[in-house]
Amino acid sequence: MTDLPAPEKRVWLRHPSLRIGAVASLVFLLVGFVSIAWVPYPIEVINVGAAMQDPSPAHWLGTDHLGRDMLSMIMKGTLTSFVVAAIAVAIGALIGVPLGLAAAAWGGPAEWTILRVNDFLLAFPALIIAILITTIFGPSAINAMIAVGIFNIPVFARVARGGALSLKTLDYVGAARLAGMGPIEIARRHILPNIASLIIVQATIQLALGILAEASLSYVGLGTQPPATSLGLMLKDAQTYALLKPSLALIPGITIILIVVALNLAGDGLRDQLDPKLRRLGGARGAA
Amino acid sequence: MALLKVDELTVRFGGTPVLDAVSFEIGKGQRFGVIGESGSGKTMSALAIMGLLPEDAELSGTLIFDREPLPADEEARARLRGKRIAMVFQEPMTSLNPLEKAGAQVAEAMHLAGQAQGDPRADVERLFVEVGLEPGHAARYPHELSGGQRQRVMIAMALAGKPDLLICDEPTSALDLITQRKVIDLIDRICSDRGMALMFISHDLKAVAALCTKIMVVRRGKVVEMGDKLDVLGHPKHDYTKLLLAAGRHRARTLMRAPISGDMLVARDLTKRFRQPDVSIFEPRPPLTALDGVNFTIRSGESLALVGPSGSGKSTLARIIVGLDRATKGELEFDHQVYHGTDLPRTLRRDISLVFQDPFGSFNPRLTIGESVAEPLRLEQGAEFDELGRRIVEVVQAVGLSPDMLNRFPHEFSGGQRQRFAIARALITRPRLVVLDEPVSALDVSVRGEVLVLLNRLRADYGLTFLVISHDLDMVRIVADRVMVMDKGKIIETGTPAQLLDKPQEPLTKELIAASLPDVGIVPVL
Amino acid sequence: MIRFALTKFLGLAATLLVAAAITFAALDILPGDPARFILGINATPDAVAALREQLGLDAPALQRFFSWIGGMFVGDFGLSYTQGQPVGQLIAGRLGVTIPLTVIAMILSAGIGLPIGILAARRRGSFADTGLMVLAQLGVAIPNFWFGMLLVLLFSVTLRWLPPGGFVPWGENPFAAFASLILPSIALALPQAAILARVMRTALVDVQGSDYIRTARAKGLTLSEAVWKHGVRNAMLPVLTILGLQFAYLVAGTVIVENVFYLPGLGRLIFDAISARDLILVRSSVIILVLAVIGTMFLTDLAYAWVDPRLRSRKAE
Repeated sequence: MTDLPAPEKRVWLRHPSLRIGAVASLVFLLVGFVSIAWVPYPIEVINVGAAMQDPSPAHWLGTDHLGRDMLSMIMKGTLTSFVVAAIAVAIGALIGVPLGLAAAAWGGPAEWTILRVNDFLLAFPALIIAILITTIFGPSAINAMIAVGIFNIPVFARVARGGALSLKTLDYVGAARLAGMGPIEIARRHILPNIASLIIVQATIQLALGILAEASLSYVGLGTQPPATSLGLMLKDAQTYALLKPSLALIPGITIILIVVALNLAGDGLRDQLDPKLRRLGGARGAA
Repeated sequence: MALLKVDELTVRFGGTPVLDAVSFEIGKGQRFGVIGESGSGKTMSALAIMGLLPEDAELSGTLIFDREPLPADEEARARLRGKRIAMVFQEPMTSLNPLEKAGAQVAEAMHLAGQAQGDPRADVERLFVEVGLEPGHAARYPHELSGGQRQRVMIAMALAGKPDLLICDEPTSALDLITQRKVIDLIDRICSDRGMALMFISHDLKAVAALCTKIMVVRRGKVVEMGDKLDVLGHPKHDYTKLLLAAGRHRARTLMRAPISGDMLVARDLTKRFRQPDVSIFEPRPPLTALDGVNFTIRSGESLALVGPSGSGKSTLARIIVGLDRATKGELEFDHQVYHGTDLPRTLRRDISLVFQDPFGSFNPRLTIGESVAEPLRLEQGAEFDELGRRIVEVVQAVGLSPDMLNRFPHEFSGGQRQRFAIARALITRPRLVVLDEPVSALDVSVRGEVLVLLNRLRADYGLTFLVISHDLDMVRIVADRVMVMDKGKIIETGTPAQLLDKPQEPLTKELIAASLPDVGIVPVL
Repeated sequence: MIRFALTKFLGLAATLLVAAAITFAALDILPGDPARFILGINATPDAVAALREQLGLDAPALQRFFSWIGGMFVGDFGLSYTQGQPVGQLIAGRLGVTIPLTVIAMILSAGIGLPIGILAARRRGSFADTGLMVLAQLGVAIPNFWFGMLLVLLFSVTLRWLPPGGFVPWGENPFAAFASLILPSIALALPQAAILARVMRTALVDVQGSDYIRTARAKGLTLSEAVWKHGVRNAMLPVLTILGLQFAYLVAGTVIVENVFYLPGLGRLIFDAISARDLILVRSSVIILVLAVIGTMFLTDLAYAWVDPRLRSRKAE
């Protein structure tokens, strides 16, 4: 006797933190994209003579210890951080979601195995995996992507499995089976669309975590390598000079914070959109 | 002098009124019934009296209890709750703290109401006995108790403070038929014993009629009719009340039955055992036998009902017949083809279909209703596209709905409409056997009658065979030619509805019959 | 309860075994020839062969795996190639830094995060709540090593209250040792505290809306009394889950933070070992870390079952 929740379409954009978060994230993303085509000053060029300058009309955010323009560095760095985090999310989702769905669909020993492997991956501190991979295969942004991606797999598997399990018992899945649909078809048509929002929320969160992870890896020298740059790599360089010029550390750090906050706000907002609707409907049932 | 006086009570959520200027009075020791369907606002009235409305509710109107207005301040209000006014809620499972033992929760109620005298354990025991529980239940956690037992714990908690007014909000709808009757009898007894006033809220007319002396009917937040029980139920003035009464008093069938001929489905020694998850490696659990050597035959054109308490195996049987589950032992034979459940041959799948119980969960919220209804057409090989289109239109019209609704989404329809679509979906492959799992129990009372009439008409028009699963004997009387009673995985009795109702043989059948409340409007019970 | 504990123990022991197997396989197989990897590209074939002999690399893999595992049970973790000392000794020495660091960080994060979450939930919707949650959002976003750098800048360089790095052994000067752990612990604890605060708040808010709180109020408790008496314990369930998971992040964080503060802990050891390509040292150190994480998961599961009786007993028949 309750009413089904309306599939959330345009209501999404009305939530305040979602709006702020989404907009802010997009702004940063855009800045990063722009840097593919253009930056104020090329970052490969070292100009020690112009090192450590304060913000000026020529250099809006000043220069670093090698004379590179901070603004350009931030732009390129943002792009790298986003790309690494995004590909890591893609790896995690593309492998993790099918695994989670398979676990939910098949149950039994297959599910048990997948769960144990999941537990194991979660228990292994992500950073250690990353360090192992990047050391053995050599430090690079790509290996950082793979390492963080591997850590994302169990997260997405868990979310997908949880969502699929709660849907499995719903009657419309039973009806689909009666209609002769096979498990893959059912997953595609009935389960995936209905857990899509859960996965998107998780993806936003993992994106934020990925940016932090990339920063940590680059900071210890195992991620992005020079002459490319990422936000974490900038911080690595900054450590030596932090006393002389704190802004070298502050600027990239604050950028990381802003991006992560924006992504988290967007993710939280998305999640709030989904949950309270269902919860309030449970309350509305009591309104009868 | 009225114990509780409610005047122009209005409750709004963001401007929309859920209760609109509702006024009523309850006298000392009086039994007051509130009848309404979902969305009527009946629960809100109870919550308003208790001071338990959700945070974003806006309240206006006056509430006077024992000649004094109910305090708005949470602290003062809390002191009154439990002591003078107590409430029993609908869902006993979630209403009890899962981490605390039952006895402790009741003891807390006593302590808060200042009724604890001396040994708390003895006090709790007394209460438990009064509500029909064993003293040993006090040491159990909520999840270790059955639904009926949990509800009794809730009632014990409500009684702990010796309140003057007991509010019960749908206390029995989550319980099975036999337990429902027991709980209602219990409430009856404690109210008489204690001289307590009762506000009994339900959609079940018969329960309200059995317990209460004064009745109020609400619809969409407004009072539609109010008065003495005999007046309201015997001479209803408002159309809505008449509708409810008529729906509750199912008309006898007048349709011609399609001729009943040869055997369509035969079940032989059907058994189903479930592996239960072990508590731990060291505590294995024996398998649960859901079906125990079941034998029966469904004849072509008949309507067979399957009744029994929860856990009797009816749903399991239905799932195996339609091919969603597999029997552990035994076999089924449909149209001379043998199968065991999930191995139902694809060619036969379109001959057997299922109507699910809950219209809420039976449609994918992201697909249009048309896409969902058409899904079973995948089983039709080699049919033309146009032909399929025609089928959809035909089947939707057959259930009394319009084809231009097909582009809309499930949430845009009411429960009754969705159930009709569910029936349409079950019919689209032109099946011969239709299994219906509690087809109307999730619907509002006023809508049930229409759907039952529809089912009967479809059966006659299309020559269908029905297997209906239900716990509602009244419904079964209308829809079925033959009834099978199940208990603990076995069929214990069969017969026509009339036979079973007049001369039940087995003790369980007798209990089921006895559990149903007397009809409304014929002979008032109290 | 005991049977529950045993079952969980067995499960986690299995996970640990799998972890060891994967670690071993990864470090043995991935680098190609471990001996060559250790010596570097310019090593002569003779040197490589000699090292292979010394490390017993010609024995079958399975045998080496089990002798490694067996060795660990008796405390023999092998010999570090680059440092020439038994690995067990090296690790033990470093644990004196890493364990106190992790424990202090754990206590700090729970001690700060949980009360903040409770406070925010009780004053839901108020200015305090919004303010605290904004702080929590920031806290989650701050990279711990960056925060460490800032702390050093402020407390060590500017205020000169605390040392900027390095470590004085406990034996020499316990107070100085403790002092050198303060800033690193704070840097580690901050993001965890923020996460715990948010989880706690969400859990409490969820609990506030639940049916049994409504029942508690119907018995005569005010909303805050009901939440305090009945809600907190229920809210702890999701918090406990997160606490357990957070430990893994904490352990990972020590690797980084020890770098920032030049602490001679297990994290630095792993780090240096990897740079020096000392695979034997790496694999045992990694297993110790994994053991710590799994051990915490085990304790968390036990705590969960202790709080929630539904996990321990049968359902009603």
